[in-house]
Amino acid sequence: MRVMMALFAMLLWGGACEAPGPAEYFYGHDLSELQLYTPVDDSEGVHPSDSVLDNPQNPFSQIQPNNTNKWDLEASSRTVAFFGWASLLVFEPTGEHQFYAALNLKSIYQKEECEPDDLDRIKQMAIRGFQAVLTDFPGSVSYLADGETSFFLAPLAAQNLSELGGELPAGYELEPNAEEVP
Amino acid sequence: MVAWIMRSFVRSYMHFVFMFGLFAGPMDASAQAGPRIAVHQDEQGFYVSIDEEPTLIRGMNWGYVPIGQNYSYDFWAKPKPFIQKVLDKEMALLRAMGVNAIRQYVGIPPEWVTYIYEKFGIYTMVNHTVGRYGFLIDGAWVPRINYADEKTRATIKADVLKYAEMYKDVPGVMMWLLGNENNYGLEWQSFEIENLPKDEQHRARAVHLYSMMGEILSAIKSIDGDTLLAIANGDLQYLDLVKKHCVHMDVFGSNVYRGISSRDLFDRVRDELGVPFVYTEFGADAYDAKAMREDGATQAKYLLGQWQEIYEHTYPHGKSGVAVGGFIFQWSDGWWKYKQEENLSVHDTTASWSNGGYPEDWMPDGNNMNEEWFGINGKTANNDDGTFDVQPREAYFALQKAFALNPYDMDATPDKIETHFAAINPTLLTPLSMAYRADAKAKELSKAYLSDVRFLMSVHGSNRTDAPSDTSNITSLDHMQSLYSTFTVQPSKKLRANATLNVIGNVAQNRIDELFYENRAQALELQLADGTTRSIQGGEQIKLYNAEFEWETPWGQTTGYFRTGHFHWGYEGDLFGFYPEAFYGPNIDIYNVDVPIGIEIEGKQALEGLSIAAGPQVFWGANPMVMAKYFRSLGAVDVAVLHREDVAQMASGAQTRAVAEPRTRRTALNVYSHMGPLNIEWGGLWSGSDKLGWDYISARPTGGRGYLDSGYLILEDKIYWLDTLGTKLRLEYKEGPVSMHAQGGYKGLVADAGIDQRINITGWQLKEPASGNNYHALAGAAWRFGFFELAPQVLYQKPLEAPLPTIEGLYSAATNVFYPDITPRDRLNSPFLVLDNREMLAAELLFSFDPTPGSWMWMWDNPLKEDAHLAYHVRAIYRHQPTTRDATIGFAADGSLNRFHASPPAQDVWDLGVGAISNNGALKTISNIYVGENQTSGFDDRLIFRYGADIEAIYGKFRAQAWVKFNDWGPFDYYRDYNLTFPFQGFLSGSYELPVEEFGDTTSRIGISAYGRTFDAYSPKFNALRSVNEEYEIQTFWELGL
Repeated sequence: MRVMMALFAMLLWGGACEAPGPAEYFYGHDLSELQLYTPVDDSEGVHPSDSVLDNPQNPFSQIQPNNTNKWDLEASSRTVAFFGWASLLVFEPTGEHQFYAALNLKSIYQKEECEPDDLDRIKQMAIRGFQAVLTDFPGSVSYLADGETSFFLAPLAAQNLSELGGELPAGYELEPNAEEVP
Repeated sequence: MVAWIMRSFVRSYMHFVFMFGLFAGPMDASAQAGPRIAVHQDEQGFYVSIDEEPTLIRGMNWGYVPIGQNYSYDFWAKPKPFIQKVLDKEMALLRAMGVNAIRQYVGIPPEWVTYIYEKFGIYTMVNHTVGRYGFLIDGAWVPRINYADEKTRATIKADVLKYAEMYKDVPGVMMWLLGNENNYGLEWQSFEIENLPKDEQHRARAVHLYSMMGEILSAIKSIDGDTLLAIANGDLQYLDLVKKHCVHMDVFGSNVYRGISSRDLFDRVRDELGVPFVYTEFGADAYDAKAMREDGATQAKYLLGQWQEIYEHTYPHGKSGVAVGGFIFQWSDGWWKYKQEENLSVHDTTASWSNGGYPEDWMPDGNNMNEEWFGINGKTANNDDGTFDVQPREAYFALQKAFALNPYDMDATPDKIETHFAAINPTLLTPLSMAYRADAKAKELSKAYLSDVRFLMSVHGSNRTDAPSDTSNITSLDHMQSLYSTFTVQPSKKLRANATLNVIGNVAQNRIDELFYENRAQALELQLADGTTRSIQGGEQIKLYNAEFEWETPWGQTTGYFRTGHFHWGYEGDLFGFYPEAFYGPNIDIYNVDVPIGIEIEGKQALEGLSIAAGPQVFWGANPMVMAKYFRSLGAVDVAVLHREDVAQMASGAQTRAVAEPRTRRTALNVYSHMGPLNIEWGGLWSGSDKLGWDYISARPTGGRGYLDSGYLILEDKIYWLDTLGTKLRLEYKEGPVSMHAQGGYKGLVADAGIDQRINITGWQLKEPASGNNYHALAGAAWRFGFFELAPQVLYQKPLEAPLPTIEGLYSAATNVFYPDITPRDRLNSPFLVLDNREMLAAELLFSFDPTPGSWMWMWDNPLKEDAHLAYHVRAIYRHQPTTRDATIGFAADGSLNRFHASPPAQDVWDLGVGAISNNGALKTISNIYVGENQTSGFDDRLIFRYGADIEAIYGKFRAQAWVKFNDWGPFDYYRDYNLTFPFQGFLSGSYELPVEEFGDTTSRIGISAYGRTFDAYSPKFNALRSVNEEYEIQTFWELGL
């Protein structure tokens, strides 16, 4: 009797749960509406945080760009590009991913592609992102479009950091002849 | 007064007459090879005489099973010097106690029956179980004997008569005994029996049993008319059937546990059977289940009371006159009796049944009969030579005094009997018993002591390749030391704990395998501020190797384990494998992981049936969890309810060498029943409710272009309640030499569970998948013919959602639409996967030869226990895998995780293996050969055709081991993850056990081993520019154990 009651209770509980609905076809993510960036957490896009995956705006929280189309996304909005690099940073923490995540945060700040109240917040996030390149990925490189010519990211990160008014981490000093971003 | 004098005179006169045998005469007078043993009867009762001398049977159920062994230990198969050594010790003690007979199952060689009799004057009652615990019928082991089956009856009868011929005229045989409470084992199912009303079914089976007994007794009489015949019944059940069918029975025997007095037993035997009576088992256990302590004095009290009653009922003391003696149960404690396959080295204090006849420790809501404590002697740990010593309890000395009185003496009046027994005080014998057990007691009472030390020293010479870039090998010599010390703490009898520490000396830096336990203490190179480097010893030079504890309370037994392992609950109601077995052998040392770790609680008394397991990682890869199981019999149905609740998520990575699954919870309701010979198991599963609402994508083939012209449609969906449900139904049917089973199951997308780790029917390896997201069907049958068995099995399984294809994504700048990559799922990005549940149609064929089914080939310790001259098996498995699977997550050598994002293709794979164990005198060999085609556990396409063999040989103190592998993966899991193989790998080792008398009771072993492998393009250290692509290592070792 008790067994039957338990089974019945389970069925009742199950009946109270959401009924299965039909699956929906997936046709890709339309990114055209993703123009303004709204951060949910101040650590988004800064290694080692994975909070960017919880941002409901992020179209890449489940599936990240690959090594080819991560560059293609630069042609979309800064917000889209940021989410692409920041999501990749979570699953593949490299200096290149961190640098471009921070660079796009800087662009969002400079182009004011966010709510006015978020401007300073995003600026600070960009600063922390560049600092993370220097502290966590000091020897990292990226490549030119030819895929062969590499360049160090640390000087570029330091330069961008300085432009934002951020402090260099201990042990770093900006030299006047640092490389610029091509 | 006058009447009393007259009665006393008459009694004395009758004693006198009896002594001169004026009226006594044998019931069955017959000639024998040795002394003439017969039963005498007159109106005052019965007695057994030996050459006309009235003799009380002061018998003992004697056996010899050392601690750590169980029913499969074959004492009579040991070398003769060993047997003689044991018998000389044991029989001398028995004789000194006053025992004149032992009960032995057939299997005791006649020469030893005669040896025991001629040297010690002790007779043997030879006992054939008549199928009580199963029998070999037509080559098939039948556990529940159907006494109605003609073939069964004929087979058992023939076997009994074979032994009757063997023991006929053997000096020392006192009596033939048939069965052992077979009336308690009438459980066979047949449709004829099932058709009877419930209350008639058992009796109907009993009729078949006793009619067969009667036939056998009659047949034995025609072969051997001299030897007395008896049966061992369970108490007095079915006396009318015994009377009717067992016409040629000379003595009625019974196993009786009624407490200090058997009350009306003797009178009933006299009135209803009219034959003499002997206890074939009786006694008391020596453990107080209520106070939870050993209590030999109470055991002695019971035995004294029982023997006094026997004396009072012997001829011709005025009572029933049917008692002719008894066989005490038993000589020494049986450490294997509880659970029989587990804890053989533990003197278990769990009481397994309840008996109000022993009120001192009887409890209304608990058991009080402790099966492992029925000996009138305790046991010591094993000596060097494999023998052990017995430690007499109070009962030994008490009965020694009791037996000093011969009830058939002229002056053995009832008053004298009473006075004689009253003068024996068991409590006063306790100090004497303690004195004999002083050594063991000292250890028992010690709160903490060093119980084991093992010291390993090795020297390693190697010629190895350090890295692929090396142009030549490095030849070097190094050494290593490793010390294991086990401490035992026992603050009370109810709490015991062990802990083993490992201390490492030097770690050899030149080993060709990069992972080994001592590697954790590898030297570290520190970079100092001034730019120099300094080498220091690794941080885990001293480490807790393992630990465990046991705590006994009235409400439950709690066991804690740290790297020591535990069994699964599959035989105790866990149909879905929630709590798997956790014995990992050397792997937890190789990978230096601290698993399993947790506790188990088994309820007792009011909590009987409740089991709880909890811990940070109760099996490798488990989340911290609490699990509870309640298993109960409800009439004809057994029901188990289980719930497992993860309380946190384990950290994935190098420290655990496992990938954590998301926190989850699981619940199962399992029901077990039967209909005749058909066993039915059904389970309902609810699992993964924590994933409700999780998003996932799936793929469907389409005739059109699909997603990015891939030919697949991609869908988005989420987990619903129905996806958390699962069910399984299994049927098993056994009839004679054929056993078969069929099973079907369904598990929703996230209804993950575990594997059924039971050995169902035979040693098949194909099992249904543990994961959810599948439905399956499994069916197999085993045919036994003689000692051979042929067992095919088929498994079909298919996932509900197929694995994801690999589709490269893209971003369209024109439309600003991002099409993400579609890649196989992995555990970190999906609520479910397709891995062990990939679509598959598999067939397995098992063929085996095992002439000694008592040491079952499929038991986990069979390589040690197998006693056949030759036993072998051949296994072939073919897996048709028409589709691919999702992706796995691999570990690099340093333990870092690597998500593969790809999977190997659809591929059929197969395995063929042969295993054999042989025993030729002192030489034992265990060997295996394998060949097969298999896929990586990672993502590589390359199919591996691999083959190899291994053999281990043990000859006295020598041990040799060798194995070879061709085109096979390397020794660690990540070799298979990354599909890294070696053209050749080989190992050869020889060792010898040294007697080191100066160290006393030690085991010391010295040996040498060689290990080598060659590389090719698929090996991790291959370099095409190097002239030699191979490496090898030679090790000499000395292991000292104290």
